[in-house]
Amino acid sequence: MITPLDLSPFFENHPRLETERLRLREATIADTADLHAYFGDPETAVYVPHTALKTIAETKEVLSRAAKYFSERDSLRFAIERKSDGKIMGIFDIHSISAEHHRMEIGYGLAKEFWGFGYMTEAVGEVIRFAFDEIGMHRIEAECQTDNIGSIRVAEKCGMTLEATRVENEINKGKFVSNYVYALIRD
Amino acid sequence: MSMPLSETNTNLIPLDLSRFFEVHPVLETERLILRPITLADAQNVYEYASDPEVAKYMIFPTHTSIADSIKWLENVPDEFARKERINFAITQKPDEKFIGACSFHHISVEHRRIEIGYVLNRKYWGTGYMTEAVREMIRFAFEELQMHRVAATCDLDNVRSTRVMERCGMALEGTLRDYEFRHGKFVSTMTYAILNRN
Repeated sequence: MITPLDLSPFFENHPRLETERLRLREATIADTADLHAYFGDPETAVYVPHTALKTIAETKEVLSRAAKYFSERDSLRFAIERKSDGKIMGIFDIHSISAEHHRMEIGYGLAKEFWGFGYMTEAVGEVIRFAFDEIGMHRIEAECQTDNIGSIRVAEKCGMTLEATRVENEINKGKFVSNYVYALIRD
Repeated sequence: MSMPLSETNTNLIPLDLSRFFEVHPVLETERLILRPITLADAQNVYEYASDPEVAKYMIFPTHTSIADSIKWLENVPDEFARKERINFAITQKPDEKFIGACSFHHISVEHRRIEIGYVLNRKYWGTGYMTEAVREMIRFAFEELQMHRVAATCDLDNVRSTRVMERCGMALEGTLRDYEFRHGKFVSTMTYAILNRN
């Protein structure tokens, strides 16, 4: 526990996680068409600084960048798949990973039609288990806009605690927005 | 619903900071000059960085030889060239005696925010120098860099540092539990910020 974490279980092969209803595996450009429903939706983009992606090509570009970050051992991006019908519903990121400080951040998003079924809570719960039990993380953090009720609920249902409010921390489409910092500590 | 705008400017395009990275800024207060820190400061840096009372609150391990200080200073121009960090030596007028160091980092031109960090040789604790330096850094960040938000962090038990931030008008935004693993244990971090309301 005193030494920096070994992150190779993250980065040698992209992890594949499974829950009762979901499969989480590496998001690739093959998912472009499915994930454009998420990346291209202006209603979802209200809660992130960037604008909704207008074209499929932009979504493809975003997904290919994620593959690059993974190869650089910077971050991971999962596609969230519903087992019952193979639908790709959204994404799950692990980023700001610090082997030295045993911490990481998570980010997540679902296309609107899949909101309200508890899918994301199920996914976050599994990633938390994986990060604590298999990677040996000590701290898992999530940051979201203070008006992102859906994201806040997921963090709280997963046992995360509100630790800080970063006031006017980001500019989102011409307006300053504040962020909540949620975190969960092992044990 | 988004937070209300603190100003009427809706044309919040990314800031252009290039001129601050062409010529390294020098800041001045009544009693202090903040100038670029260089390799010639290695002995000065070693003096505070090898002091366990100082280093216990800092992200770096306590320096055990001047080589540690040299190694850090050698990296300073690269961080500046990458526009990631601006490091200053804090010097005391009139003879520019080195008393500490400070920096701007986590610079976001997109979100108009910046973070500051600072450290003072223990000999100068309790003199008000750090408050004077940090006030000037905040002024510079708002008025010249055109930042909207200045943040700073310190260890949960670093009372002196919290006092500096509070005297400078910064507000506590929260405590990040077990945020860093240092000197053999997890330590919690307090996070402060001040907004430009002008």
